[in-house]
Amino acid sequence: MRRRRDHPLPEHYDAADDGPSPSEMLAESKRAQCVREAVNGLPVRQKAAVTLCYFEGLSNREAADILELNIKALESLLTRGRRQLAGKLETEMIELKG
Amino acid sequence: MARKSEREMAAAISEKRFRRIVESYGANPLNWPDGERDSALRFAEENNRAAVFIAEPAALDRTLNDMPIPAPADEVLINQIIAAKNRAAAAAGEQQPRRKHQRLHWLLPRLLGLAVACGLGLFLGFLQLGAKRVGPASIDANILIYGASGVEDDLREIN
Repeated sequence: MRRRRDHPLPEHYDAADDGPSPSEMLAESKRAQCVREAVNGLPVRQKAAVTLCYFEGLSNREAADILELNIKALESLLTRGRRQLAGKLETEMIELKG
Repeated sequence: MARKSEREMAAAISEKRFRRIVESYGANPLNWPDGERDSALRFAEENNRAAVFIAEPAALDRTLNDMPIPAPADEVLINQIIAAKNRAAAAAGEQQPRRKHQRLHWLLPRLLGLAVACGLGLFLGFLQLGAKRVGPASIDANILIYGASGVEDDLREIN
């Protein structure tokens, strides 16, 4: 029976890491913080509309029912909320585009 | 004449409405209102300007999508969700009395039957008590009283 030979790793072996580098992780964390602050900085009703429609994935009718609004009023809140987010996150949006 | 497909049948939407949809709901058609999705998609396919309207909402969508953040907890929103649930429960509860009423209908004949049976039982019980009162024991007692009263001797003397 043949014996299996062990091949020890080179002395300074360092496996390549495909994940993001620490600086990338830091940048991503900062961007996430910016988004969180931007969303939290919205007026209460705009934040509620954006949260329900965007983050919770509710339909416009469901969100309007919860907020006791008609669809037109909900859309108005969403439009204003998204405009405000776009203004606050302009830098992040440019970075992601690039 | 060829039959129009469902998407062709969908009512055409105006440029203004398309802009409103993408500005409100973003560039992802999955987030667009169900009733207008087909019309909005058709508009996007047929109009070159649609790409211009979509560009900015799409950039914001990417910014929000690329950084998954938990939905911000907000007391007002939580209260509104709870209130909406309560409203739905109350709306469902309006049907509850009807159900109780229906259940009562089902119970009523049985309750009536039980009441009749109880009444009959009581009636028979009283009959039985009455029968006991005029039974042999009470007759014997009456004879004794009658004999002790001396009425019989008086009658004999008269005769």
